[in-house]
Amino acid sequence: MRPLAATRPRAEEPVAAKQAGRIPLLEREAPLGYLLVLPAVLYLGIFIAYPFVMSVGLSFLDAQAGSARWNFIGWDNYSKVDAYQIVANNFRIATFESEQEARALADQRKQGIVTTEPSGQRFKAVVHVAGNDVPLIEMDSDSDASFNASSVLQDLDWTVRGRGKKWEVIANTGENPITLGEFTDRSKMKEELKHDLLVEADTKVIAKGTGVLQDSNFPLALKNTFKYTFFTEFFKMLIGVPCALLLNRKFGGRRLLRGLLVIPWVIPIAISAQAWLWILDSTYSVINWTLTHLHILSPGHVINFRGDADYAMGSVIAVNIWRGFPFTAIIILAGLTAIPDEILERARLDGANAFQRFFHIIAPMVRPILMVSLLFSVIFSFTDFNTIWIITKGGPYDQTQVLSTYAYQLGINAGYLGKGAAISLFMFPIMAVMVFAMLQFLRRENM
Amino acid sequence: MVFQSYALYPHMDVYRNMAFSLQLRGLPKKEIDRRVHEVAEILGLTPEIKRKPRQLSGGQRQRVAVGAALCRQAGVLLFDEPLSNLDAKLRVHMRTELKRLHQRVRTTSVYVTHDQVEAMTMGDRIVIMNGGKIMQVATPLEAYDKPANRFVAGFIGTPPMNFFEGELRDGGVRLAGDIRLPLPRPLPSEPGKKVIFGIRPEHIAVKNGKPEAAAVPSVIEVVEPLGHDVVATARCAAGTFQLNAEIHEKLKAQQQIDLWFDLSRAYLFDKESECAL
Repeated sequence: MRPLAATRPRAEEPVAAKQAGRIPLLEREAPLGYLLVLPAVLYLGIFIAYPFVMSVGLSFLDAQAGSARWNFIGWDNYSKVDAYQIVANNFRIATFESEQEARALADQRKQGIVTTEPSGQRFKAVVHVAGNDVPLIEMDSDSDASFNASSVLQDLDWTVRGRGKKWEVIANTGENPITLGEFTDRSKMKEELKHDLLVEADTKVIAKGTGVLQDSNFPLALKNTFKYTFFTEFFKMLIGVPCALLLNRKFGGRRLLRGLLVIPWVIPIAISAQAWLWILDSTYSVINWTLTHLHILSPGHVINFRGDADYAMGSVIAVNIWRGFPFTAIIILAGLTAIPDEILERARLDGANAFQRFFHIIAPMVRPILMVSLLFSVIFSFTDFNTIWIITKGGPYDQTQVLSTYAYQLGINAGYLGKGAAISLFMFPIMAVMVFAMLQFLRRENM
Repeated sequence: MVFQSYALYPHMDVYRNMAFSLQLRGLPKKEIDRRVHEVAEILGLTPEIKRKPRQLSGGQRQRVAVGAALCRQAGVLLFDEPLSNLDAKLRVHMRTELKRLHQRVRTTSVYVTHDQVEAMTMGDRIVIMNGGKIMQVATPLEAYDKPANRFVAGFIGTPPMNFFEGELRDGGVRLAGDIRLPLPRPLPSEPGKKVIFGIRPEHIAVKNGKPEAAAVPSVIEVVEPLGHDVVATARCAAGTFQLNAEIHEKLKAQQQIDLWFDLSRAYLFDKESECAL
């Protein structure tokens, strides 16, 4: 029985040695564990945790690059309303029962005149056109009333709109509504409004201030971010799913193709973007070259991918799709391989054709994994900075400005560190809501 | 078809799993409903009908797989080793259930198994195959009593039949170690022909009970008690073999004893071809 005694389990040795106080550091489990985790913790701490905490801190200060003192300003970077502005547009000048009368009024407005008359403590401006007297505005000052009424008369577009027995003449200012007044106290606003405007109009209250929520560029950046995210995700799915389905079949060169597929994802965006800069260049773009040589475009009318407002967003979306669809495809491919062949065989026996197999069996079984990949993809697109910055820098004229690029521009380029921090932190609650919703959906799936 | 691993759609509940093929075919909902509920009732699955496969036990999943096949009301049911994924106790229970089911629906079924107990207990007819070739088509009893070849003879029956090599002699067969056994019937072939002699453990006795029996001096090597019965491994001059005995016969290892072979139940096979008895 000798041999049995000699093969004592190795685990006993460190214990015995520990009691003698002699085990080397690397053989003790707990300290070794911490040691191995340390590099990752350091990395996360320095490059992610610290900047994040610092951003949060900065967003509450009036931090500006170059200024010596940074003061605590609470929520002001996020939202600080200095005044509320009422703007109005689409003034309904008059309503008629016949289209003729309405058009007559509209056509003759250049010949109209404005008069003012006192109304209590204030002054009322009346517009006289084509035999109609329309009281328009009432203000504290005579000249203000007159001036505004004249503007409406002369500078705006008057259009006729209506149907049947109701025809309206509407004065419209297009993109820039007229400011009716500014108030610091919201409660007084509604009353004032009733007194000022004597005709119906579309009114809107705009908060004016220095916070992010009052920034006029912010809604655009937000809208662009959602647009960017939504369209790239949609097309990533649209391209990724068929790719995964095709790669799931056995064919020669399959491994090679899978490897090639991953390239757009794996290449650092800074490098691949350089190639895209050439493809999207206004003068040397290969796309334009092809299209002009195929006589689809004439040489004078080539597409300016980065500089044309209509094409810029599409261009960055295209680059993001190109870059991201391998990720989606690979994850879905993993999900597909997890479907047992037997299930598909049974589906075939049950009489399902290829489309039915996809719709009833494959898609539902892949859905949880799809959701996970979607989750990561969405987070990635929503916070994507590199792609847009390298290709368009947010231009032209902010058409491709997203939250991350706007934060950079405001925070680093312009030096308003506090505001930049506030903008980037805006992404946080939005992302939290989206992630939460998706996880809830996933959790219910697994019930 | 019922798969060995059931092949249930994991994201569909029991109802949908059984109704799927019918839905694909476009049957009216009422008809689908009727069939599914009827089959669920037969299989005792009605309380689980809204559950998903992951919430079911092995036996229940098995029944869903059978139910799905039944719903299709096909002319033939195919079973691919359906009980091999179940634990032994459940397997025995399900075997009875399936047999009962078959008696009720009477659909022609083709059942594949490697478990000979299943084959013997469930089959009206069995097809024994080896390496893709059919060895014999017979009823279970026929396969047991009249095996067509050595493979079937050794395949059916537990413990398996004992085989000895030998050759035909006058009036009998001579095995290795010069053991001569007389045969109670005329020789099937001319003397000198090489044969394989087969005898089942249940036809070797400790006492001489039959007129056709012949004694073979042997030494008991291993005794495996199975409760009332015992399987003993013994060695004679012709080789090692097994026999069935009873516990009260008190066989012991290294016991020297004459064992009686019932030659009326012995088999002869040409060297790997047919049964020549």
